[in-house]
Amino acid sequence: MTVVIKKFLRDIPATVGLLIVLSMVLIALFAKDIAPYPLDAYQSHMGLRLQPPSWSHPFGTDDLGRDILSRVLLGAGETLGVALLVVGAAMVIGISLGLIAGYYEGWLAELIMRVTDIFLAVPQLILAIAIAQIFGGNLISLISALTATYWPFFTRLVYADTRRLKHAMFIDALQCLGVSTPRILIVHILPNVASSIIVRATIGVGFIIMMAAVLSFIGIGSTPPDPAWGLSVAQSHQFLPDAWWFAAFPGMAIFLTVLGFNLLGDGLRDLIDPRLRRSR
Amino acid sequence: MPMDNPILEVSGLSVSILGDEGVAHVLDGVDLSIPAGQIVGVVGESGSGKTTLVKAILGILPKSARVESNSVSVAGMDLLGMNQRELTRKVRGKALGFIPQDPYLALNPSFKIGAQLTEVVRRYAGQSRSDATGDETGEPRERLAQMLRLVQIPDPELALDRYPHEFSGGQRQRLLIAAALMNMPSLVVADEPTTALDVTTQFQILKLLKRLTREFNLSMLFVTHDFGVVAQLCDYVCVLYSGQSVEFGPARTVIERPRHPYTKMLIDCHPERDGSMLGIPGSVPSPLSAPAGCRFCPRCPDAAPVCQIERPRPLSDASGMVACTLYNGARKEKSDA
Amino acid sequence: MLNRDDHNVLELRNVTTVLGSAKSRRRPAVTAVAGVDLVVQRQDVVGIVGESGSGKSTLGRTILGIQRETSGEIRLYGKPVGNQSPQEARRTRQAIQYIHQDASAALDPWWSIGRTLAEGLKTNGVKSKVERTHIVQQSLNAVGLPVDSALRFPHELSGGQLRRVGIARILALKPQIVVLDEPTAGLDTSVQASVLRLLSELHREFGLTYLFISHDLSVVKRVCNKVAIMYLGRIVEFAGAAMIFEKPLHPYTRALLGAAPTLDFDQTFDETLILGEPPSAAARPEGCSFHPRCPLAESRCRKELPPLAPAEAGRQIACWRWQEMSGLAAGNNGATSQNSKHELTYPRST
Repeated sequence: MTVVIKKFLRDIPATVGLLIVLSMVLIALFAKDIAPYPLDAYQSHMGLRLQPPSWSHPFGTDDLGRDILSRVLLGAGETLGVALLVVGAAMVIGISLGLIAGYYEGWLAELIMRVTDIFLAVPQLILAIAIAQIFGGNLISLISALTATYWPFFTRLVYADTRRLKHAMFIDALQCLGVSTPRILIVHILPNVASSIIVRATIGVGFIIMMAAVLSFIGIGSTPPDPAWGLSVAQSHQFLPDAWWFAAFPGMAIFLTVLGFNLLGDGLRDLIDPRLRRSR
Repeated sequence: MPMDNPILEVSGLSVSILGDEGVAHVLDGVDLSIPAGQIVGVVGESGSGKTTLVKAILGILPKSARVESNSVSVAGMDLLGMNQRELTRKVRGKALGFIPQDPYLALNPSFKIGAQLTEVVRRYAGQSRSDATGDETGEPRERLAQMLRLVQIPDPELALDRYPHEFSGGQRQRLLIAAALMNMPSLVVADEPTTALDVTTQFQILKLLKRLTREFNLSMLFVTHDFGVVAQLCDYVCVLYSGQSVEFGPARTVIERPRHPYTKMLIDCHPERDGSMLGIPGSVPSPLSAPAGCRFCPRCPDAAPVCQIERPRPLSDASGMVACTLYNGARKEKSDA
Repeated sequence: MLNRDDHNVLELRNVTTVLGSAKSRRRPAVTAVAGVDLVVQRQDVVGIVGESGSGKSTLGRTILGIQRETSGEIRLYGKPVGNQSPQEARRTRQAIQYIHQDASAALDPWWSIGRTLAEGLKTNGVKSKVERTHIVQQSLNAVGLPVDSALRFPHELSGGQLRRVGIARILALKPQIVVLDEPTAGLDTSVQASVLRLLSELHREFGLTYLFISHDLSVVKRVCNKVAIMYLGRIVEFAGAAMIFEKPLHPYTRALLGAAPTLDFDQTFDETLILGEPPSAAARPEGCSFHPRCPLAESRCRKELPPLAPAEAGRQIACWRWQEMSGLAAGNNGATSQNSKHELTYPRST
């Protein structure tokens, strides 16, 4: 275990990524305690509209006089929460389908992969909008819509890796011993495809945050007065370029989080090398 | 063993590679000479350093490798003094030819044979596209076809337009031999080229190599783990153990009257000799540690106390070279002192 | 390595295995095993020798049951086992285990050795964890590996050690018949010897029966009591090991033996004994499969497939002209035949 940790810490970008992600998670969890103006999630102070950054409001205030720093901190929860839920759900669906399609040949595999192809062929934004429109513009439908656009990426990846591994000698050896197929899939194949999955998942978090931001721009998903970052950026555009702080700080938060997850993902992928496992 | 005008002269070659776990001394003071027009086999097991030796001669060691040597020269050219560009232009493909181990991996499945043979020659010879003469394949087709005929590929003219997968493993190995010999290099380095082949195919390839070297007076460095192959093909043999050369001499002499204990035990492991299936107890020392004395001492049935203290000085005589205290007088010195 | 028992442990009758299918473009139908008759008796060590394309690996897997045979009959201890899905076959053929050619590739790189060994036990019904641990220790012991190997990972072990792990893995399941696929391939010569010695010891100690698939005749000579030479999916010669090595009759056998690199500097090999390129099962010649490369081929060989039939005592051969070979061979060496007679049961010829 220590070999793994040491190797990770030697990789500076990965460590930076880890720190960023951890910070974001902590912020998301403890925002209410950290934020200087916790009630600004929902209260407005019309007298303090669009104030530039100052000592009392380090990130300035928005068009309703709310402290942007606080809103950024408070928004972490919703933003991250949505992204992690979406990626999590997409992983469950996508990986399962990918394993099945990759391991079993025949009509089922073909069916799964064709459906996957169809989903991948449609631009995700359009797809997300379409699904969200059908089910109403709230947060639940946003999560469902984004999940629906993202699972195919996992399926494609896992399918390719499973197909390849299926012919690996150690899988053959397990079959020769009589090990059951579900066990082979979950306990043997899955850990060996983990590398690609991790990269895709961490990139995914960043990607989903962006998508959610775009969708909130057009009113799907987060609705005012949610402190979600994407929504803040969306609301800020009409006040540019004068009240630059309104767009800048939530935008920075998005940027930093996406960066953090990407770096972390890269670092984790380098660790997924069975040769790092040692008996002592 | 005195030799005039050797085609390959390696003197005191030491290579260490820096890795995660420390410095690995992969080759330690190896001397090797190949006389003109002769085939020298290099026999070693895993951990012997034979692959590193090949890479050092070809100049393709990894960046983490440190080379210390008195000299490594091919056809009189000092290789250590050259950078990659010079090696590519002057040596590889011209003075030096290379036959790789795996015929299935060494050929690109997406290109025709004719184009690949040209490419290999051009890349190793350092020519640019504008240097080439002839039609679209670069080299004159007739010359390529001639090479293929030489290695006994049927229908050479048609073969030039075929893809690798249309050939069997043995035929692909012949193609690689053709590529290596395109410019009639002074020295051909062959890295276990028959290990991946069937027995009957291996036999044919070895016969072919022997014929070609005799016909064109080529010299060859042939790396193998199989003494049987050495007996069939090689004029001389060098035995490597843990990065050191422990014995050298004419193939027949070494195989029929081996001197170094490792050579003796290794030959005895050959199925034709061994009835008791004892193998060689113990294992090769890790290149990360560099014991002071003889590296084979822990496993040697003839070990003496002096073997642990100093590395055996090589003794060269009419039968060849052997690096063992049994022969170099170190034991007598010790008992005299 | 002599037989003690006439009990037929394994019988194959006209077994054919076709890989791929006629409908598939990517994997067209190829007859890898084309009508094999084989009888294996208790504690035999049968060498199955062939080059690439001979079908020896496919035969091994068909016997194991992981490859479904297309036609023919397989009997295990007299009972027919055949035409089953790989899962069913594994259940009925639990007495047969398989050791892979590439010892390191046959192990999950993520798992420790101990866990890998235990998994086989778990799958085969050993429910108690304590018992599994105990059996794993015993198996590691039996193959000469230190007990702490159970904690190691595959990449930490050498080629020879990994080979022993592969043996330990199936030994733990108490097999009776073991199919070994090229057990010495890729090993250093010095390590090969110790692995072969281990296999011999286990054979004696546990009364095992081996099917020893190899392309290396010299290895087969050391450990096998009977040898089957395969060419393009068929057995072309089958006899006691001593007989095959002293007096090979089938032209292909003679070519194989002759082509092997020998330490004997005075031995010459008649190059005309084998001509041309190795065969492809996809383009099977008519008549005898070997005729395109056989120096003795005549018109009958090109039209009619010779069956595997009894030749002299203790030998079966598939060749129309074996008697002429016999005459040639008799002149070659005056070596006397060793040991005792090897009992062979002849299946009915087709």
